[in-house]
Amino acid sequence: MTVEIRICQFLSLYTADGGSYHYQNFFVKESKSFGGTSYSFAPFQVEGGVSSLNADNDQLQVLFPATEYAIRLVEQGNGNRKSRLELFTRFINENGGVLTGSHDGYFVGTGAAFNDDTVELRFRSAIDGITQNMPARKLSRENVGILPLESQLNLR
Amino acid sequence: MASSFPVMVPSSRKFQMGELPTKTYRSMSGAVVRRAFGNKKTNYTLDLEFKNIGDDVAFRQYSGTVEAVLKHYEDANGTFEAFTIPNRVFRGMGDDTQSYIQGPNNVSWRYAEPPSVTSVRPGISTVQVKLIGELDD
Repeated sequence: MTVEIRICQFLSLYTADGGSYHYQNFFVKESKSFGGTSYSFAPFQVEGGVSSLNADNDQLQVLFPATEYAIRLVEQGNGNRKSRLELFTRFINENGGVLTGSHDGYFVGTGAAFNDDTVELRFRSAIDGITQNMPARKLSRENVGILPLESQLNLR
Repeated sequence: MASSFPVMVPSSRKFQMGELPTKTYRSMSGAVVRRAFGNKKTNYTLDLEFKNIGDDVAFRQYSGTVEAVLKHYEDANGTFEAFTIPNRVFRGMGDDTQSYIQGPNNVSWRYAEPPSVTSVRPGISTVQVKLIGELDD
């Protein structure tokens, strides 16, 4: 018995200056419409925790080859510290159609790294879940100080 | 993109079709799941051999020279730049078959490795060229 699966990741990156960039990594040199938005092809790769039930603020890395547009993404996101990422993972049928289901992820930018051939954009999952050690209070500057991008909070 | 490969008819050709980029998961039960990471084939290969050709002087029309191959390798910056392959390289091959080699969508040909030159006798050598067809971003 053999099962064939095809998975495409749709990435929407919103930068600090209000720009938005939409890429997918399955349909080579094609644009694919998904959710009313057109996603152009980019050879990116996603590593790290894509989805978690524990609200443990997983880190996620999006790897691009060090091309001109990848470097521009970093620069316009102010070093990827002021950007927001939406990542949609979808199954593709044999005719290239996007199937419903699978999962969506929402992340905030925490930084970027360059090396000779790769641009790495780092993200953490948004603080949309609270562990059981946290009191059921609204987070504000008054009780946690300046709101961080990570889950390291100091109650006051 | 570099200039086209020299117009030369090879003594032999070996072509291999590309594949979809996939990963295979084999469970202990024997069930197999294959995941495709893209929708286009890549890693086509084309091996060409030019037997007993002149080093600097072509003995026949389209037999080419060793110097022409080496000069093209220089012009293509080694394995770095892509180039096209002239139809003459596929002489003797059916047009429909040739379209599978010349026509894959979005595939660019490059040297997979430096050309190999074997000296046969003074002024005559055999050249082996290995090309790879890959998807360009």
